[in-house]
Amino acid sequence: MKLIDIELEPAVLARARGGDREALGAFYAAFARPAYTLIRRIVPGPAADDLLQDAFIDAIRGLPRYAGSAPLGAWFRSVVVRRCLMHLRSPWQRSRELLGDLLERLEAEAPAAVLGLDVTRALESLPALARLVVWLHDVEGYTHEEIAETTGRSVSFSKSQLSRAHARLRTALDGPAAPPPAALLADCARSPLS
Amino acid sequence: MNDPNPSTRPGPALEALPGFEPPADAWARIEARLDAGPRIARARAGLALVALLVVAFGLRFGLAPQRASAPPAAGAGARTALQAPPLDQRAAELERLLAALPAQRVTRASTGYATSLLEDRIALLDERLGLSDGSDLSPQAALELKKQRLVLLDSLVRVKYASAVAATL
Repeated sequence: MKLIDIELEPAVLARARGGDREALGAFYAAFARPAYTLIRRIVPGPAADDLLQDAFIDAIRGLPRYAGSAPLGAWFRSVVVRRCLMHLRSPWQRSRELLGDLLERLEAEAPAAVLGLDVTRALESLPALARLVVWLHDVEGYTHEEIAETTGRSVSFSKSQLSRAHARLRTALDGPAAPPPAALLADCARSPLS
Repeated sequence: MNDPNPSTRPGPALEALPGFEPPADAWARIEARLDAGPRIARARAGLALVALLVVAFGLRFGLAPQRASAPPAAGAGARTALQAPPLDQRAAELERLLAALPAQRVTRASTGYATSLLEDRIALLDERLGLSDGSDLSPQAALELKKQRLVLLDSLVRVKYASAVAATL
């Protein structure tokens, strides 16, 4: 079930907004799995555990200010996505992205290296922002306008990221598995980042 | 730029991916952070004091141990040797800072990992320095181990201080 489809009973929500621990536990129980799934798809790796905690802390502290104009699931999803974006924009993560850019360039030079992946690995092979865009659009149902607003980029940026991500996913999923060429491995071994 | 061929979008394949179960202790960790809320005022007061101590320590000793251990410039040797506190004294200061930091439950996996890594390495150095009792270590080797220990202690203070500050935000 997606985050946006989940609701709490009004009485439970009212108690949760008041800080009632049992109601907050019910809020966690209802939302934890889809929230963690969303986070893991956008941010693979151990940071996802911390981000889950951070998102719930943000949400619990923000619940008293939740106006109810949007569905609770949609509101909480925006909290989760905002946390993921903060992580992706952190200096540490951006330095890792530089490495990702290098790998992307290498893959573009030798597309056979990423052929024949399963869906999970194909998704994780995307650059972080492209992964976020494709997941929000294809799975969470965000429009390009919503993605642009969330990420602080333009609508055309969202569209181009999605288009490129789709092309890369199709290539990765449809092609036969093949070992990376020896020349590519040799280039990686000579990389100054190693 | 629109997707030229929407019919082949991988969306259904992505949607079909299985979900992930959150870590079993995630809610307990969140509750621990929520419970820390009422203690924030006291923790902030304590941290303010520790922050002053950290700054004072940095001003007095410098937080880069290699600076003090570098060969002094010609003509300034006697003065530098007098001003540079012994490694043991600097380590004792850092240990006092660690003790002054408010005790807290580790709730972030990354912080817990960094802390345990530093503590393990310090314990390893303590063991080597303690077990050897100086008898099978040359003075230079013992000095080197103490320098390493000082660097690790300094890092541990920084990690625990940052974690304590983060817990109050």
